[in-house]
Amino acid sequence: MTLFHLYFLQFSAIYIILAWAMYLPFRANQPYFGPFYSMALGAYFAAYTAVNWGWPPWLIIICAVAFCVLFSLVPAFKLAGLGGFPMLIATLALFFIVLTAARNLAMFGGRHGLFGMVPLSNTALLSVTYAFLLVVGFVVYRLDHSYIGRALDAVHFDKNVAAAMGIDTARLSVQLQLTASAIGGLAGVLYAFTFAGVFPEAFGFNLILYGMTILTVGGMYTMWGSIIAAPILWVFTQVLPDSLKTFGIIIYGALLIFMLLARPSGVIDRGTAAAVSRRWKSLFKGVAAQQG
Amino acid sequence: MEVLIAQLIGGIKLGSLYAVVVIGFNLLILVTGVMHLGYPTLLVLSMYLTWVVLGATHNSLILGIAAAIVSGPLIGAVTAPLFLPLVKRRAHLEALVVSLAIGIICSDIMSHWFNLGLPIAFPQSLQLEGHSINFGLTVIRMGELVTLAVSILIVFLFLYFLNRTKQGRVLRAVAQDTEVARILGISVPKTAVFSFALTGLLGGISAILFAMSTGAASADLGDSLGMKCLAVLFLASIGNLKGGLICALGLGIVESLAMTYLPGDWTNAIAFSVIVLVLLFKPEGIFGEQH
Repeated sequence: MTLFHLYFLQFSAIYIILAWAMYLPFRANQPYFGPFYSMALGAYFAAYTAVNWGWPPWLIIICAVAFCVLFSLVPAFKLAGLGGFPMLIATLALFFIVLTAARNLAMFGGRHGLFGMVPLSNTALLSVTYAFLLVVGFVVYRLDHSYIGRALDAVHFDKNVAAAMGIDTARLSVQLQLTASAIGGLAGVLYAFTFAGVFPEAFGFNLILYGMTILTVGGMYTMWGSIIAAPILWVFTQVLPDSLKTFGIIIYGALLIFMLLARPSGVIDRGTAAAVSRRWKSLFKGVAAQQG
Repeated sequence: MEVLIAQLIGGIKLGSLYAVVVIGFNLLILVTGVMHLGYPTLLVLSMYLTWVVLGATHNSLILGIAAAIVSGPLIGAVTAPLFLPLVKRRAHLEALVVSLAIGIICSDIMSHWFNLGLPIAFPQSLQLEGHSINFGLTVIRMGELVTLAVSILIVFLFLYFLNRTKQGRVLRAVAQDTEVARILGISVPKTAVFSFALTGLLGGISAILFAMSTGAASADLGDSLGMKCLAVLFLASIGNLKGGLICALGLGIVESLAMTYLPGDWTNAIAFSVIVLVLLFKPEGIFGEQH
C-alpha cells in the first residue's frame, strides 16, 4: 500500500467522523464548532500521553474522548440556552484558545509540534480507524432514527414549538454538544496516530474551512453526504496539478460559498437520501420475491 | 510613570482603531444582520493593496492613502452580492459562514501572492518617521498621534452621520425594523449595499490608520484583529455603538499593558477568553441593547 492510499483511506475516515460530529448539532440549527477544538484537544492529548507517559492506544482513546467531553461540559451547559451566533463565536474562541496554548506551551512542542509517538502498523491503523468509523456511524444513525432524531427535526423547524411539545431543548443541546465533542476528540486521536505526532498548523482556519465544506457540500441535514464528500474533496486537492495546488483553499472556499448560495441543503439532501433508501428497499424486496 | 503614560496613550490609540473596526461590524449586524467575520481580513487586504500601490508609485503617500480609501468600499461592494441573497432569506448563520470563507480565501491570497508570503512593511514616511514628541525618556511617534486623532474624528463623524443626516436615519430605520422601513418606502436592498460600501470605507480608513500605526502587516493579522473586535462586540452587547466605543478603548489599554508583561501570542488569548467568559456568563453584554 502506498502512502497516498494509506492517507486517502485514513483522512477520508477521519474527516467523515469529524463531519458527523458537526452534523448532529448543525441538524438542530446549532452552529457548534466544538468538534474542531475537540479534535485539536484529542490529538494533543494523544501525542502528549503517548510520548511522555507511554500510554497504550486503547487507553489514550478512552481518556482523550473523556477529556474532550469534560472540557466541553461547562461551555455546553452555558451555551445550551443561547442562540446560534453566541454558540458559534464562543466555540470559535475556544478553538483559538486551545490553538494559542498549543503554539505557546513548551510542553506541547510549541510551533514545532509534538512527535515521537510509536507508530501503528498500516493494518492496525486502518483497522482501528474503520472500526471507529463504523461505531460512530452506527451511533449517529441510531440517534437519527430515534426519539432524539425526531426531536432534532422539531428543534430544527421551530425551537419554541419543540419546547411547547415537551422537548427539553436545553438538555438536548447539551447532549448534542457533548456527543459532538466526544466524536471530534476521537477524530483528533486518530489524526495524531496517523502522523505519529501532532503540529499546530494542522488545526488552523483551514481545518474549519475543510470541515465546513465537507458538511455543506455533502449535505448538512443527512449523515450520508459526508461519506461521499470527504473522500472526493480530499482526493480533489491531491490530484490537482502542482501549479493549481496553491489554489486549494480558494477552491474550497469558493465551493463552500457557492453551495451555501445555490444549494444550502448540499448535494445529498433528505429528499435524495429518502429516494435512494426507497430504491434500495424496493430492490431488496424484488430480489427476495425472486428467491422466494 | 512616563512608560505607563506612554502605554496608556498607545492603548487609547489601539482602542480607537478597534473602535473604528467595531463600528463597521456593528453597522453590518444592525442593518443586514450579517456578522461579517471576514471584515477584518478585508481590512488587511486593503493594507496589502496600499502596500502594492506605495511600492509601484515610489512611496507616494497620497496615492497610497487613496488606494486604501478606494479599495475598502470597492471590496465591500464586490462582496455584497454574495451576502444579499442570504440576507433576503434571513439565513444569518449561512451568511456568517460565507463571511468566514471570504476571510480565509483573502488570507490565503495574501499569504501566497504578496511578498512571497512574508509580512509586509510600510515605508517609514507613512508612519511620519522623524516627527516625534519626546516625553521624558519615552518617544511618541507623530504617526501614532495622527492615528489617534483621525480615529476619534472618524468615530464622531460617523455618529454625526448616523444621527443627523437623512441617510443615517434610513440606516437606523432599517436597523430598527426592516419591515416597517420597507412599508415606509425605504429600499432595504439598496440600504444593505450602502451599508456594505460604508463599512468598506471604514475598513479602508482603518487600513491606512493601522498601516500608519503598526508599520507592518501579515496575512494572519485579520484573524487576531477579528477575534479582538468580536470580544469588544460581545462585551459591549451586539449593536450597541456607544458601548462598543468604550469597550474598544478598554481593550486597547488592557492589550497595551499586557504586551509589556506577557509574551506576544498570549495577548490574543486575553481577547478570546473575554469572548468565552462574556458569552458563557453574561451573554447580553455589559451595556445591553441600545435603543
